[in-house]
Amino acid sequence: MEDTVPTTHNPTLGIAGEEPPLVDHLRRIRNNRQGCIAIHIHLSRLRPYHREAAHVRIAVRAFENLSNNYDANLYVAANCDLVLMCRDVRVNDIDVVIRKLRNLFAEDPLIFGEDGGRGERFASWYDLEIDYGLFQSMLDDLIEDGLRITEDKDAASSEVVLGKPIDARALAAVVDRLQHTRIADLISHQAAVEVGGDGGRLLFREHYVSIADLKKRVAPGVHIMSDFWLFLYLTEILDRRILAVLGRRDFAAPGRPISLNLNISTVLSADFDAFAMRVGPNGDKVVVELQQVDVFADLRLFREARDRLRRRGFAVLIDGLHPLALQYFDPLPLDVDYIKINWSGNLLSSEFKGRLRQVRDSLAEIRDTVVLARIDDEDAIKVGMEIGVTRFQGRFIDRLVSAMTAGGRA
Amino acid sequence: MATGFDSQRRLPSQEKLFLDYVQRLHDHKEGRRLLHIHMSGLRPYNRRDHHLRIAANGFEQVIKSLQGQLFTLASSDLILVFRREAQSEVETSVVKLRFLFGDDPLLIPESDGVDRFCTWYDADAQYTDILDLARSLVADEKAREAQVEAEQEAKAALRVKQEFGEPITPRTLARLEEALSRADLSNMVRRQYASAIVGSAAPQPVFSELFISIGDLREAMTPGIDLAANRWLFQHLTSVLDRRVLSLLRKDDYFTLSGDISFNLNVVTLLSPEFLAFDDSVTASRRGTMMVELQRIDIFRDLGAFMFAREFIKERGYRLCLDGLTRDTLGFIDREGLGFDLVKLIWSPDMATEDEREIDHLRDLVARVGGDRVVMSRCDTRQSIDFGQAIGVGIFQGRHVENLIAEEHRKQDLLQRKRRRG
Repeated sequence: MEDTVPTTHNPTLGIAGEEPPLVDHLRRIRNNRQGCIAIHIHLSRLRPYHREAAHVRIAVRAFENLSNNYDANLYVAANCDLVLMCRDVRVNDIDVVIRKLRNLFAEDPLIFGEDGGRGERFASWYDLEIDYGLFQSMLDDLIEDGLRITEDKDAASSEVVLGKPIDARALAAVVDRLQHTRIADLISHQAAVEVGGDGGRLLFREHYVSIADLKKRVAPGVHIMSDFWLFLYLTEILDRRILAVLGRRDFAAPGRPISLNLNISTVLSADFDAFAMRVGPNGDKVVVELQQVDVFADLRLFREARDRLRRRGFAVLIDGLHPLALQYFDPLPLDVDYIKINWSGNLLSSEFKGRLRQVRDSLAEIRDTVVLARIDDEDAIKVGMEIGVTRFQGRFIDRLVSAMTAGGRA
Repeated sequence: MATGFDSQRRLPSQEKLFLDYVQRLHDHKEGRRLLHIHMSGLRPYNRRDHHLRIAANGFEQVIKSLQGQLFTLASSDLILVFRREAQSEVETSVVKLRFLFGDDPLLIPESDGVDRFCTWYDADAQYTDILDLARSLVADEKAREAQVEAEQEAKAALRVKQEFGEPITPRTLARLEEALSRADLSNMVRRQYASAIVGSAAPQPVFSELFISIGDLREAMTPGIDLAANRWLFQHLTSVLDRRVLSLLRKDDYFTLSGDISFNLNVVTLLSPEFLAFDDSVTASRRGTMMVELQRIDIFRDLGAFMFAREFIKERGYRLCLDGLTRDTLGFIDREGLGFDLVKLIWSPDMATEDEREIDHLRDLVARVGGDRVVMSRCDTRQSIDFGQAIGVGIFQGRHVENLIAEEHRKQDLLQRKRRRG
């Protein structure tokens, strides 16, 4: 008994990532570290939408060549960081792979926010001959992090929280339920404001159905957003219900305009005509938000819908524009009243430095139509003002507006 | 072949040549006469090809002796312009023709004494009449051609319409997906060539697109259902089909296909385990001959996801094509910025215009994208290719292109057989 290896507490037990074999690997080379390098790639620092399973899988793939041809092993940690362990591999060959990764994630602020330095924020290099201890302590942190994530994950696996991914059959059932369920009480609203020298002015209030509430009521246990196209189909059904509810409003009463999201197919339908009849001569009280994917799906239908809305006196807004999109097309010819650009709330201006001018330039001609949405804090407004935008919407704006209302100014 | 695209049609028409001739005749009209034979007025059984040939041959001597010139119009009428000296010879030939068609009601003299088979003109005295005739013939021919084209387009539109039916619902979609999971789709895979076409030369295949025919799919699995009636459900269906296409492509018979191939996928599919498995099964050298086609609507769905997928598959060596552009959207797209090797411009009959400014505008747009980077797709008629060429497009795809390729093959076959015999 005495000469067997004592079973020590294994800190990596039960972890979801490949930390255990990584620990083994490190142990194996402890006494022969010549030519050994480790690279820690911080995928966990990317934006959440860049570290889904698909992205990690593809990032891992970039190392295949290296691990097939050299003494190199890649480990995927529980927090989705990657650790590459290699011996006698030319730094240049590794660099090629890291550069590929940077290209893949080029649109992430983690990458374009790097200040041309050594890029330590994305990849950290360890010469294990010298930095063994340092690497060891980094690994300890990684394991600790991983264990915590594993625990959280078990408690909150996406299927438990979000429900089963939707498919056509589940959609049919959800649609049936949606058609026979009261939704009037699910409609919430959010203000969009214009900021000028003389303070703020309410532009319109967007009326929408919170997806979380909707899901609770008509699709418990179903992840209705898991399939983009099926979700859009659901919104077509939702459109009709919302039109019926909002059609009961008194549009002649004084007040700021409302905005509502509609599919283009809805705008071209008889249900919409009925709604427009109810609005009557008060078309200036209605802003219709069309999704950009819907707009680009068929520009001719979009124009037909836009002109139809204009004839009724409604304002037309294009929603959901990716800030990147402006680099690849010019929205000016779409000829609409508002263009809503979704700001990634956590894009801090320091990370944004290099791009600010670019975005400001691409906004030059449409600035008067831009509404910057998803404004969650004051910083976002500052960035917005820096690029010349004066119209905002988001949680932070809501707080401002309610403060204004409380002060009796709105 | 009804859609027959022969090189002759690209030459100036006989009507146009006749008009040119008449205009040049202005200074040489002395001593010239003109005979218009109204073959088009004959009963159909009297104006078959051999009748027309015999009629034309009747004037061979006059023509060979350089005393006259014959125009065979699209209506099958004949027009002979000849020197006064040949008058009797021409008259003799006409007598023979009258005898030949003696049983035709057209040649039975009417009480008013008007000859409805032949009209004679004296170029000197009736030059204006002749010029009017030539002009009206050109106009008629243009109108006739436009009508033929309109009919072709109408036929093409009808084909599309016939594919309509009951609009798809989530329930029918669910049924279809279930059926798809069991079905063998290999016999529904179609291959269509995108070919460079310069002038009226034979098409040169650039790559071939492999796709699952939605028409066949519908026929086999959901007859009477219009699968494209709802855009969003249809897009979902394409992503389901993606996975089937990938597994079909992994089969050997598609790998051994000659030449470059392309196939449509959704951005989401490119990031899926199924695509990674497919990628594993493709040799590095083969990737360079494969092009992924992405739908315009799909890249705008989530530009961030598209950029990531683009970096990934370009790095793996695949090429990229942006599908689904229209006249309206061509100008919106920064092909190079988005990283596409090719773009596909969907032909639709209402794209055709005679407005020079509009044509110039389109030509500019094509030039900006790069003429050799634009594929005009769904070319089901000759008109589409003519128009595409006029605006600088170099590559074409569609039923008409397939017809041209088939025709070219037949021609080559024939030549080969001839050579063997000779």
